[in-house]
Amino acid sequence: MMKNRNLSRRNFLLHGAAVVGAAATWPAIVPSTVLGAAAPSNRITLGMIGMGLQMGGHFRGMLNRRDVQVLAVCDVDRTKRENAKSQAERAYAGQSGSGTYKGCDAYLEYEELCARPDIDAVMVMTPDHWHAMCSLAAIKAGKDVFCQKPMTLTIREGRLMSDACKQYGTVFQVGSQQRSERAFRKACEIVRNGWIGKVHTIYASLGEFAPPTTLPEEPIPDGFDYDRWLGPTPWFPYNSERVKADFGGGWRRFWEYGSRKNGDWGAHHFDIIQWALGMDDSGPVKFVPKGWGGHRYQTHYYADGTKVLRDHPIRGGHMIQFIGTQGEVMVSRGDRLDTIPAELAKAPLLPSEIHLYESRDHDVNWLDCIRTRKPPICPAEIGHRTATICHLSGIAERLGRPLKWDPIEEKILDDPAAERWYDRPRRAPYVL
Amino acid sequence: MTGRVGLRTCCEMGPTLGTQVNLHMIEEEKEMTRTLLRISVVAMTMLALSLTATSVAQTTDELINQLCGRTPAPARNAAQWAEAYEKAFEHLLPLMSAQNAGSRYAPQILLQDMGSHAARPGAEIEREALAKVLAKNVDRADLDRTVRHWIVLQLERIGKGESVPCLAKLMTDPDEHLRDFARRALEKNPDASATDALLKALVQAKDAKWKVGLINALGTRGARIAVQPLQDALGDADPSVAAAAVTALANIGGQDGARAILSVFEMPLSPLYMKAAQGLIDIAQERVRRNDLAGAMEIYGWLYEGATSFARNNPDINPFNIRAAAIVGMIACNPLQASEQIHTWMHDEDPKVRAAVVAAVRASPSKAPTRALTALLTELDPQSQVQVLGLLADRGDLSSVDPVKRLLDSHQEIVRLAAIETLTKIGTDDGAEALLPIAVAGSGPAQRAAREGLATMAGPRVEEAIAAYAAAGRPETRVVAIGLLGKRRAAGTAEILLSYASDADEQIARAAFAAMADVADTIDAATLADLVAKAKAGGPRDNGVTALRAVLSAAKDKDAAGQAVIDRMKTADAGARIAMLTALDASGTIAALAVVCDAAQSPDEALSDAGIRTLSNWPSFEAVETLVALVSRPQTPLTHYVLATRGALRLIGASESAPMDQRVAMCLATFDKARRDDEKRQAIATLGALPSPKTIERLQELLKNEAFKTEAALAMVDLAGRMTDRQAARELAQKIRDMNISEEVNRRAEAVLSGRFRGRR
Repeated sequence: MMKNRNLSRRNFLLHGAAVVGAAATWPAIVPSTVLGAAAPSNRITLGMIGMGLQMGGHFRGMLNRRDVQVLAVCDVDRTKRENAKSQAERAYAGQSGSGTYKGCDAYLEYEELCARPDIDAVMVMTPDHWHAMCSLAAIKAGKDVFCQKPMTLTIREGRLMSDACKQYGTVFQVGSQQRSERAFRKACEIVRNGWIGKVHTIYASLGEFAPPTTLPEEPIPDGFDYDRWLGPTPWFPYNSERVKADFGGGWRRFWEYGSRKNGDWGAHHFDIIQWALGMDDSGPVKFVPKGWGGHRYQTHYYADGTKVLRDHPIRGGHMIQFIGTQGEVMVSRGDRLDTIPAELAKAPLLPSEIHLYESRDHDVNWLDCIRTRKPPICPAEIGHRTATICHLSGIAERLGRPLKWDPIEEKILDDPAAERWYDRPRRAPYVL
Repeated sequence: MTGRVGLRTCCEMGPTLGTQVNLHMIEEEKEMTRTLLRISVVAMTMLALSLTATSVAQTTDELINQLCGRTPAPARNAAQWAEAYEKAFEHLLPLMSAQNAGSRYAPQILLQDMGSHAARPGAEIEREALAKVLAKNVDRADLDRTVRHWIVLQLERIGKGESVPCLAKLMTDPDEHLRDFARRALEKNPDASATDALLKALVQAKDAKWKVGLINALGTRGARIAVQPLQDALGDADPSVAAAAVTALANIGGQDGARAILSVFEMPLSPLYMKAAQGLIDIAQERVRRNDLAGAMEIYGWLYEGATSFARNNPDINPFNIRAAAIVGMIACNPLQASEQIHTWMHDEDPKVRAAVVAAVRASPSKAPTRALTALLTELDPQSQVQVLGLLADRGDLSSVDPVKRLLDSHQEIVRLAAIETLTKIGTDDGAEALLPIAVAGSGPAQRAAREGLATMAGPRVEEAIAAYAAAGRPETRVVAIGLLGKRRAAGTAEILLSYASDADEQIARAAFAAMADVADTIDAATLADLVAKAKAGGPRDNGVTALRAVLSAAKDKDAAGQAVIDRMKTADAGARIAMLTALDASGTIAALAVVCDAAQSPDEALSDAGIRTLSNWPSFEAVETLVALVSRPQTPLTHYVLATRGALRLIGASESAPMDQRVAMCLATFDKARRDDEKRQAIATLGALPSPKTIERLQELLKNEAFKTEAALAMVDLAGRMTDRQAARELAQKIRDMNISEEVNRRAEAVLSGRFRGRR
C-alpha cells in the first residue's frame, strides 16, 4: 500500500498526532517487492537517531532485514545524515533490483522524526546526554525504542523514562547486549542458583579514560550543528576533541556528556552484576570513591554486604569475577566462562532451577518483542537501575566522598549537596 | 615556618590555647606541679606544632589542599574561611585563565573540589563563605568568559540564598551563555528567592528561547506560584514557549496545573493539543504515585473519551498514543472496572491500541484484566492472540490452560507456537498432556517446540505426567516420554532408565539407552554393564554400548567406572565381552588400556579386531606404544595396520603433554615400520608438528627422497610456522621456498615468510 505523504496543512498542524490511512494495517512506503517476503503488515518501520560510531553495525543489520524498513535517519552532522540516507537508499535499491530507491528521509531534528506517524520504532544511538530527550519524545509519540547504554545522563531521566514506558506500553530495549550473550547468562544462572554459595565479592574491569581537559576554541565545521550537539548540556567553546566519537575517549572522557568509564563499561558490567544478584529492581546502598578511607578501589556495596570493586585484578584476565563461599565464576565477552569448580561452567540446569531470560541476539530480541509485546531482555527499568549505579559512582568520585543511597525511595541520603546531582538543569531551550 | 616555633612561644601560646594550669598549689605539691607543668608544656608544644603546621598553611598550595579536604584544616570562623577562600580564589584565577587552554583544567577542578568539600554535610559555614566569595568575584571585568561560566557552574552546585542576587543580576548579562548558566544555577538553588528571580525574569523576557529556559526552570522547581504566568504562556505566539509551559505545568501538577493545561483545549486546534494531552497523562501518573486513583482515573477517562471521539470525528487523525496511555492508566487505576471494557478495546481497529491493552494488563497486579483477556482469547486476531499468549505465559495463570490448549489447533503457526510456549511456561500436567501428542506426532517447528518445552517444563505433576507416559501406552509415545525424562534429569531418572533398558520392546530399550546420555553422570556403570551383557546382540546391545560410552565418559571416578565394566566383562559371553570392550576407550584409564591391549593381541580374531579398533580410538598417548607395535608386525592384517597407524599418528600429533622426544621417537618408528608410502607420508606430516633436532634431521634426509620430498618440505614449512624465533622460521621457510618443490609448498612457504601462516592445526 503506497502512502500519501503529502500531508495537508491540517495534518501538519497536528504534528505529533498519528495519521493513518487504514488503521488495521501497518503503513508501507514501498512496494513489498523491494523488501522481499515480509508482508507490509509484518514489517516494522524504523527511524534511526545518531548516525555515528555506535550506529554502524545496527544500521547495517537493520538494512539487511526483510522484516524491517528504515524510513528516516537523523543526525546533527549534515554529512553523517546525508551519508546514512544514501546508504539506506543504496541498500534498498540493491535489494529491489530496480537500481533506485528514494524513500529514506534525513532530519536534523529528532522531534520531526518522532512525530512521523508512519514510523513504528526508533533506535537512539546518540551520546548519553541525548538519550533521554530523544527516547521520551519517541515514547510519548507511541513508538517503541532501542536506546544505547547507559540509558541516561541523570537518575531523574531514568525514572521518567521507565515510568513513561509503563504509561505508554512501550517496548523499550537498552543496548546492554551482554545480556544476550550465552556466557554472561550462564554466569548469572550459576550465581542465581547458588552454585558457588553466597557471593560476597565481585570484581569488574572497566579501565580508565584520559582525564578531561579544557580545550582551545576551534571553528565549527560547516554542516555541524554544534549547538544542537550540545543540546541540554552546558555551553563550552567548540573543539573537535570534545565531540569526537572514539571508543578510547572523545566525548566519553567528559563528565558533561556521560559518567566516563562508569557509563562506558560500567553500564555493561554493573548490569550483569545486577542480573546475577537478582537486583534488577533495586540496587546498591553505598558508593565509595577510590582512595577514600583506605579503599584502594572504587567500591559499591549492596545491603547484604556484597561488594563490587572496580578494576581490582581479575583471575584469568576476565571482565567480571564473582567470588562466593563455595566457588568462583569468571566471565568475559567472546563466550569466555571459567568456574571454580571447573565443571560448573558446563553443568546443565534442572527444570526446577532458575532459568534466566534467553536472548540470542539483542536487536532481534527487541524486534520480536515489538511483535509479541513481551518485555525485552533489558527494558527501561533495568536500564535505569544500572545507569543509576553508573551515575552514583560518578557522583561519589566527583564529590570525593561516599554516598548513601536508598534504592527503594531512590534518594541520596544525608547529603543535600549530592542530592542536587539527581538531575542536571538543561540549557535553554532544551526541555526534558 | 613549619616546625620552627620556639618553646617560649609555645609556652606563651599554651594558656592562649585554652590550657588551664593551676599555679596556685601548696608547697608540697610544687614538685608534682612542676612535673605536670613540664608534661603539659611538652604536650602543648607538640599540639601547637601540629596545629601550627597546618593552620597557618605555609603555601597557597597547602591552603588549597586543606580547602579541598585533602589535608586536615584547622577550625576557622566565617571571616577566616572567607579570607582563606578569597586567597585560594585569587591564586587560582590567573591559572584558570591561562593562555594555554589545557593548563586551565587542573585549577578549575581545584575550584570544583573546593566547592564539593565545602558543601559536604555539616560544613555550612564553609559553603556559605565560598559561595559568597564566588558571587562577589564573578562580575569582575578581568575574568575570561569561560572562567565566569565555570564560577557560576560552581554556584549551581553549592549556592543558596546568598547567591541569588548575584545570579539574578547575571541573568541580564550581555553574554547569552552566562545568562543561561545563571538561570540554571537558580533552577537548582534551594532558596525560595530563586523562584522569585526566575519569575521576575520571565515577566520581562522577550526572546522565545530565553522564555523556554525560564519556564523550564520554574517547572522543574515545581513552583506553584508560577502557574498563572505559565498559563499565560500557553497562549504565546511561539509554539515552543507554549509547549514548554505545558511541560512546566505538568511538572508542577496538582489541580492548578491540570486546570491550566485543560485550558489548552479551549483554544483553537493546534499541535499543543497533543502536548497538553501528554502533560495531563504526566499529571495523572503523578496522582497514581500519590495513590489518588480516583483523581487519576478522572483524567484518564476524560482523555480516552476525548481522544476516541476526536479520532471518530477526524478519520485522518488518530491520537492512538493518547488513547493507549489512557487505557493503560485506567487499567492501572481500576482494573475491575476497566476489565469490563477490555472486550471493546480488544476489538478496536487499531492494533496499537490492542497492543497497549495487553501491555497494561501485563503490568497490572490484578487478575481481573488477565481473566477478561483470557476469555476473549479464541476470538481475537492472530497478532493479538500471540501477544495475549505471551502475557499468559509470563503470568503463569493456571486458569488459562484450557483456552490456551484450544489454540494448539490454530490455523496460524505463530499462534500454535505461542500456545506451546505458553503451556510450557505455565507448567501443568494437563498442559504436558496436551503437548505430548504434538511432541510425538507433530512435525516441524511445532514438534520441536513441544519437545523443547516438555524438556524444561516446570510445575506440579509435570514430571509425574511425563513419567506416566513413559511407563505405559503406545510405544511411540513412550519413546518420546523416555527421551524427555533424560532431558529433564529429575532425581531417580537413572534408575527408571535402567529399568526401561531391559524392556522387551526394543524401541523402548533403545530409547532408554539413548536417554542415558543426558544423565550419564548419574548412571551406575556396573548396572549398565550388566544390562549390556544381557542385551540381545545387534541393535539392542549396540544401543547399550552407546550408553555405556556416555557413562564412562561422564563418570567422575573413571577408574571405578572402568573397573566395573572390566569386572563384568570377565563373566560375560564373548559377544557381550567384545561389545563392552569397544566402550573402554571412553574410560581411558590405565586398567582399561591394559585390557584393550591384551585384546588387541589376542589370538581370537573377533576380540583382536575389537581391541585394535578400540585402541586406535584411544584418548591418551599411553596407547601409542602398542599401536606402533601393531604397525611393526608384518602379520597385522591390512585393515588393522591402517587403523593402528592412524591411531598412533593421531595420538602422537595431539598429545601435547607427552614428552617431545617420545613423540618424535614413536613417529619415526611409525615411519620406519610403515609398509606403504601412504602411511609414511602421514607420518611425515605428523613430524611437522614435532619440532626437534631429530625431526629436522630426518626431514632433511627425506627432502632428498623423490617419493617423499613434497611431504617433507610441507612438514618443514609447518615446523617453521610453529617456530617462535621468527628469524629462524623465515630462514627455514626461505630455504624450502628456494628448493621450488611444488606450487603448494611454495605457497605455504610464502605464507610463513609473510607471517600469515603459523603452523597447521
